[in-house]
Amino acid sequence: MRDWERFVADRLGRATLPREVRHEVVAEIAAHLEEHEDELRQAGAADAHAETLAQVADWRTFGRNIRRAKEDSMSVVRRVVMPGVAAALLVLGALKLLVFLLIVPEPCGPDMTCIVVSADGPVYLPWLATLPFAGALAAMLARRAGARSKQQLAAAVFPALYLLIEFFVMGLSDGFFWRIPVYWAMIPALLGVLGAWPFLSGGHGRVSAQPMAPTHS
Amino acid sequence: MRKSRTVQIKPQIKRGSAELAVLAVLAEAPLHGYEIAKRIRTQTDGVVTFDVAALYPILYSMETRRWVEAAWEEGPSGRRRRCYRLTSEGRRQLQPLRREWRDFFHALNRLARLSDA
Repeated sequence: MRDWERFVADRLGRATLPREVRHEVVAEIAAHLEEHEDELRQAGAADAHAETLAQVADWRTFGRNIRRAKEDSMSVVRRVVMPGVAAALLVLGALKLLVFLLIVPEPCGPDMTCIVVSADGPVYLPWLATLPFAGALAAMLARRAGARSKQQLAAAVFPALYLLIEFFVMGLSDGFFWRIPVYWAMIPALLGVLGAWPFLSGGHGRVSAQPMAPTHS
Repeated sequence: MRKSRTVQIKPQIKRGSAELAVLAVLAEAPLHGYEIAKRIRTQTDGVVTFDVAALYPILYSMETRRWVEAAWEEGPSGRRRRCYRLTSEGRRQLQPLRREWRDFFHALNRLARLSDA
């Protein structure tokens, strides 16, 4: 007797759906196929197994359709925004900590001290080192939420996007300098992607595209 | 004077017909996926059939839209199955779908005289 759950799990791939949803989908579809085959056998079908296998002609398309059907309007929030915010908090927390540890406030007016954070200061390079970790964190959280690779990448560059917007808003009053978006958004974005890279799900997940040759158990 | 009525059929006709079929059988009783496919097949004398690949994306999409809700139940054979039931939102969706399809078939009948065929 065929282990239908294993059969379905192998074909639907791991990255198609969040783990808990995937487990449920696999169990449900396996139960359906098993019942279908049983009933065909009882009805005396000549090749119940092959007929059951023909229920799904293209597992890759099937997996994609299931994923789309399961996606609700909140899925982008869970898969991109929430992991992205977590990564942004890590990045901004690291920046704040490094500023606290490495920057000495300088006098910049009567009874005033200022903190100057620049790309050639002591904070920048150590801060950059945290960005691959933030990218990796975002990609992992996004993957756990069932994100596709593009969504994982979007989550990984979220902190850089946040910084870009912040610098744009600051630029409206202080003026725009080309180096700011390069050092504080583009390079961080690249490092975020670099950190996310090992955790990407792959373009279409791990859905098998192999043709289904009828096999008998 | 005879009042004319414009019948507008949504472009997603295939999807709509599948949704109508599933909602209609679930309106009779809560069912699991295999039973839904079987009911549709038997009640249409095999004219309308749903394989696994067609049925589950529709069911999951309806579940996401809260038209149906599902829960695991154990059948008489001890086999665990996910049983679907219509929600109040699903019942609300069924009426306009029925009307839309009735209008569609009336329109098609006027055009192609299907009832004479």
